[in-house]
Amino acid sequence: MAEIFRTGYVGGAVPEAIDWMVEQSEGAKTICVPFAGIGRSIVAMARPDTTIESFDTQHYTKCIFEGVFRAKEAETNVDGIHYRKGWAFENRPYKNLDDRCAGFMDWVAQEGTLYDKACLGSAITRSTLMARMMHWKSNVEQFYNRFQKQFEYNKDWLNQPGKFVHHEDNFFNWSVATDLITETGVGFSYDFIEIDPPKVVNYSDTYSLRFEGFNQILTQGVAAKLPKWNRRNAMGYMRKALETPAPKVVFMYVSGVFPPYEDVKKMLATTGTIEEEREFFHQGRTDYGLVIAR
Amino acid sequence: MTYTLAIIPCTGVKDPYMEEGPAQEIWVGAHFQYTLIYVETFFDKVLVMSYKYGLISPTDTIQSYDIDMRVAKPREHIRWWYLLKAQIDKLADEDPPALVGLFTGNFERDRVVREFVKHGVDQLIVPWEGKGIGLRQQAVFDAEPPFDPEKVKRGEYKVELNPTGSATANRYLPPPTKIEEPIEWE
Repeated sequence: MAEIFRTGYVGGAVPEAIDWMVEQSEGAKTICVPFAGIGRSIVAMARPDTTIESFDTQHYTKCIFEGVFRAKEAETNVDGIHYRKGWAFENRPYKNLDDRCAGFMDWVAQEGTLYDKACLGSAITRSTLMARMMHWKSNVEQFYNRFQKQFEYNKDWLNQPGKFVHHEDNFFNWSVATDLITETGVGFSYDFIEIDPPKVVNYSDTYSLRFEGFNQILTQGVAAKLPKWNRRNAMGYMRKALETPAPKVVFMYVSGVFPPYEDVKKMLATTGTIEEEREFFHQGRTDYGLVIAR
Repeated sequence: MTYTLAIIPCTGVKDPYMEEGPAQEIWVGAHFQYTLIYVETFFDKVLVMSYKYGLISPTDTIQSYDIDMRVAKPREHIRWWYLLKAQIDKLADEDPPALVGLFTGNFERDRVVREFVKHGVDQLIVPWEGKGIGLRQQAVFDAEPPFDPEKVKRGEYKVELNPTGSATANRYLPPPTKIEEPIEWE
């Protein structure tokens, strides 16, 4: 089983699901990933002959792609704990966040390289209670220690094979027929699309709910608001993502979210032929993987 | 305020052959027994939190009983808490300890802390919080001191209630930093 890229997010991924997805992408030269997340599946699918185009509204994703996966070496400006009053200091996005930790994250967000910010993002997540991004639980020494640990860990993920074209933007802002072709020069159709959409847990997706402050810290308040997925629009967004031209799609979903898996499966069946359906059990939930041929 | 006080939990494991006798003889559970000898070594005074009698000395004569306040009816629970509250208030007003070490479980611990603080006893510690049975036994066998008497003199175990008058939220606060230099903003 291949090693998978980790940054401390809650839930995590099932290694078998990643392996299965990599298997499905074999032979594909051009791959599209509309919701990149931390790029875990992308880095697993990357080979010397692949061009992977990805999108995500989070600045953190860009930091990982540009600062780690595409970088030749770990570039850093962080030589110790420095403090600056910035967005985190002023807005305190986590309960119990103290001056020192807020000051350190603001300093790195303003002065750090993309590699530094990729490490900062992980250290922030891991420094909250249960990594849920709500309550801050660490003092500045623990926070800095996590930053350093991720700094060492990320070194193993530098200089990944193949070509990465990443856009820090909402996938739906892009016109598939024009912009993507210009950007990648790969033709009208990708060989393969991997769709792992945001999941609506209660009334909103966890990304727009908890990651707003996180995104604003890393961009120091200049990021646009994250698009919100909810029960009403989720199915429409998924259908739209499936319009991207490619003969093969892998769609990842999970149990216990909205819309329910059965409804999503019915919708997927209208866009092509479901060739394979897999279930991966993980910490009380079931991850689903579907292969759709078109 | 010259003495230190330990409050320890009682036990559900009682001597089946004793109907009446000294509390420390009736309560035979291992946790109670090793906690008692441990706190007797380090604290000046020991009281046991009993679900029937409230706070009593381990040498007090009691009758064996089978009551668990955690599953009692609310009426009985409140009645017991009033008894305990009155005992804490009397103790804190008439013979206040310099430090209270709470070895009891989570049940009503926050209320006990608040009651002591409200009555001027503001140095409290919970030495076994977060420690499993193994680490507790290790502390007992290693005779690991639960507090530093010098710090007690300097008032360093002071507990502050949060703005809502509760001690609860402090449990999730980040640990204090060990960096002593003031923050230099750049």
